[in-house]
Amino acid sequence: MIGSIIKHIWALLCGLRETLWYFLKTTILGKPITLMYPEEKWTPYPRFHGLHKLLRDDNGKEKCVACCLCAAVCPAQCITIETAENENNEKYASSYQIDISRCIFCGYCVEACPVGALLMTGEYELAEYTREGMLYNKERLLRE
Amino acid sequence: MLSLTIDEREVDVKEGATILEAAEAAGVYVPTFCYHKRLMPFGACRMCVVEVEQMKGRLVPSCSTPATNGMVIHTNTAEVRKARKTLLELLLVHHPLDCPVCDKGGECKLQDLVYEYELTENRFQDSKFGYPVDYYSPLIERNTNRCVLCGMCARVCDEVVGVAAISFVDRGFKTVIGTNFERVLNCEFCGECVNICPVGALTDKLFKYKARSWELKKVNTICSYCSTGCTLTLGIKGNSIYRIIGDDTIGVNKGSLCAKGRFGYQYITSPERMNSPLIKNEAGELVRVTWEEALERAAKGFTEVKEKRGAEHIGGICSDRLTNEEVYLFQKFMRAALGTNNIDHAGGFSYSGLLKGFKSSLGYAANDITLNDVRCADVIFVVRSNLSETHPVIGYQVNMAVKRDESQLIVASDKTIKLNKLAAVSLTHKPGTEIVLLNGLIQAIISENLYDKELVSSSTEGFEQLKAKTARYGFDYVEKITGIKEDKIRETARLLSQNKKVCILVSAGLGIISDDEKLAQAVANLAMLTGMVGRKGSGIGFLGEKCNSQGTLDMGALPHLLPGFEEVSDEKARNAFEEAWKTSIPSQPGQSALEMFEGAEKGSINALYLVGENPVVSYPDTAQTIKALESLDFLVVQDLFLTPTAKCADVVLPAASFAEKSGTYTNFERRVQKLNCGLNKLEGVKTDLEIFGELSLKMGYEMNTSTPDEVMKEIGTLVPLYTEVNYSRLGEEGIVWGSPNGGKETTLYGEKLSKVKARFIPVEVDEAMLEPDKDYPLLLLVGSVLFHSGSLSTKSPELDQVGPGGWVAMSMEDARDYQLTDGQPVFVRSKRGEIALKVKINKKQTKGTVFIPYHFESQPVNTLTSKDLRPTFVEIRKG
Repeated sequence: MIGSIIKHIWALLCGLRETLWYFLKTTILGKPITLMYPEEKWTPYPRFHGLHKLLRDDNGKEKCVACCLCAAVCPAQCITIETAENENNEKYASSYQIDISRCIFCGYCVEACPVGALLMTGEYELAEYTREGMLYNKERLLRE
Repeated sequence: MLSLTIDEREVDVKEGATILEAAEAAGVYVPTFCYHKRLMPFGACRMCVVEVEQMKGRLVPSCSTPATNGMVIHTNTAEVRKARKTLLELLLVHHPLDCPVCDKGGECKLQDLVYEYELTENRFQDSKFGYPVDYYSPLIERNTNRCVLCGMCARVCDEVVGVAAISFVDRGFKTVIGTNFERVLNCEFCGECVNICPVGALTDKLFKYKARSWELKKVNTICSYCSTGCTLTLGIKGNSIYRIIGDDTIGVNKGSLCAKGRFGYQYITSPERMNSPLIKNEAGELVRVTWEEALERAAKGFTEVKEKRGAEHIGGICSDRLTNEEVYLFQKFMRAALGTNNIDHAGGFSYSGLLKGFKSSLGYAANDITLNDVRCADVIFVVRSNLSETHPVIGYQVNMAVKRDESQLIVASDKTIKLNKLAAVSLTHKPGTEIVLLNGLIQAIISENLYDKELVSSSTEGFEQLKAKTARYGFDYVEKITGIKEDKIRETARLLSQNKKVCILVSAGLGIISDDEKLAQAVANLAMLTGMVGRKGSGIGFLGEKCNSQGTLDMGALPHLLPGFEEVSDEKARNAFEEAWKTSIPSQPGQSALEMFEGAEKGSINALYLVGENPVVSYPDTAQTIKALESLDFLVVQDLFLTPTAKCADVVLPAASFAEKSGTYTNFERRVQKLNCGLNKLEGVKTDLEIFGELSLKMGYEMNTSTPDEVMKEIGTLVPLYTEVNYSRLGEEGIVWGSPNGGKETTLYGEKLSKVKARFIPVEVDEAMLEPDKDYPLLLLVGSVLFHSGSLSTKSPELDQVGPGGWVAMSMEDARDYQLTDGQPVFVRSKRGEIALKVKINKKQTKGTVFIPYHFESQPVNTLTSKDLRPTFVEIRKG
């Protein structure tokens, strides 16, 4: 009977081995990994999927050619683009909007972009007071 | 039959089929660039190469190699794939690969094939061409850099449309598709080249950079312009139309469209469209009100007139652009809710004028040919019809019939038209003398004993009178009046009577309108005499001007006819309707449209309900029309736009366009086709169907039908011709009413006219009518032009861009006599009025005539014309 109880406890400990090891590592044996956010900020990894950014080329012209492939590939369908023709007979996005509240940060849009106009930055503080604030238009996405 | 094996599949095809056609029949996919089933095989792209076991050692192009018995074909071997892949690599050497911004991206054949053949790099390198892009042509953009030289655009333009505006230019590496002397396009702007281009070399300018093809929802519906009844594929994103394309697998048109159908949709989203009902306040201004108020006011107005003066003092005129269901409800509203037979449509002339004559001769007010009959005809006789302008898609069929199948075309016209180029016999007669010419032909056929004696003696009556009456139309007399020589008349007579499949095509609403009925009878006489009615593949085609010209007649928007061509005075027929509608219908025929306007001035009509009609612009004698409208006690106008007519109204009700509603249209073939609703209604408007229902309810008469489907069910129970028409059976092909075997055969009159009572009605023409006045020497011809249909198309700015108004066409001789140059401002004056226009010298115009299109509000040609519909003569002086 006792033997079987010990056996069960042992099995439990075995299962919790990794958890317990992390518990000890971040309390008694080492430094805690909790950051004191927002006083302390976390630095994201280089390939972190954060807020999108639209890029400009060396001449300051926006790189986006309004092919709408990002909108087509987006699984959350959170990208809305309206396209038009500029005075040089080129196609451009007359409006480009990402609904960040719907975005799942998969990064497909960045992969789909044929001209490298879209990038995901490390920006992760995306809370807003209003829903409208979650809609990122072209001007906000083209920010420096 | 040939039997062959393609990719292990056995298939039987008929003699003369190519390998590609056999593959299609076997369900084997072969990629192509330059093949299209509407065009002749060309063999330019070599994408369709296949391996044939009997032709070892080389690959053969399947599109231009005839299939032979016992062939064993492989379409997807390693060698074939290698050849195709190399070909794609060569095409990509110069292709700019601007797919992200190319409007063809997503539906481009080159893109799809490059993906299919997994082409990731190119062994061949060269610099790109860098040709200048044609940004300057209206409606169509040409980017030669993207071209793969399949030649389909040039071929469709020549073989189908018959314009040949673009072609191959230069040789070898420098070959491009271009216009003559690299000018901007100045063609019919039908956009067939854009539709057929497999890549993005020719693109639709209205669609340029607006959306990607995969974002668009495709909705097939029926065009709302002419009576051909083409199927359009709307490309919809959000709640607006981004483009219109033709789908080559469906519809009577099989993908062919004209400029109006393809580019004339912008009026739907025009900012000028009304989005709220208006009523006239005490100060006489139109003010915005709610639907409730507007309908209340309309009902009150009609009730007042009805109580004070009687129902016969109310009249209603609808447009022939309404759907069958709407026309039916409209006449039901007038007859049942208001209790009057004063119902008419489209001015009461034009198409109904033609068919009135037709009904008296042949018993039905309808055509018995289909578009396919025109395409397959041996002889096509075009009388008073500029159909390449009024019905371009039918014009394409004529063009193909003549060019590809060597049909004989006879063109009787008062000026040189596009079809004259193709004509075997050109009968260019003096204006207004068609009937004399037809009588001359009848006389020739009788005197030469060429007529169908069996049919004439067994199925018709009145032949002796016809013979006696036309005897005086000898060759000399006809030549004196029409200017057509004897040999041409003899040749025409022979062609018409000695061929099996003969079609006569006549357009409504051109030339001298008062002749319409007589012309119909004269054409019917000729057709019966030569035995072409009641013979499969032959017959007469009267081409109505609007999309539902035929349906509006079928649905009884006429003062003397109930739906299904039942006479109002026929008690039995009337009783059936009275029973179904639970009310009584007056037994006296009502007044026609022009009588109503006359009556309005005299006081016998006090209230009018105009639905989609714009009499101020489109009816003759504008001054009288306006006077009539002003003398009414009460006027309700229902339209999309605040037209000049609507501005006179007491109540204006905004209606929905064809893309915002469902229903059915009946085209010139009697084919009932379904409209599919593509857009949500503009906010603040209602469909005509909803308005009739609600207004009727306000008048205290309940229609019991709220959807087009229900209305069609009611029509089916009351109109025998429409019994077979119900929404579940209306597929993409529609249903041709009155045709045996469930719509498969289309002879309306039955074999040898067995189903109808056919009568020869001799017609005479008042020749004095065409004598010009001393002061007014020029005959005014009013009609429509290629880029417009009715006054609706003028609300599409793109059509106005290619077909602007404000001109009067004159012959070179007249211009010289009057010392006028092209573009010079002039005043055109008749007995009734005067308008200022610019001269357009047209070498095809006949001397002594001037032509003014009637579509434009800005050039009110109807201020010159008269309501008696007789020819108008004008004089021109420098402005």
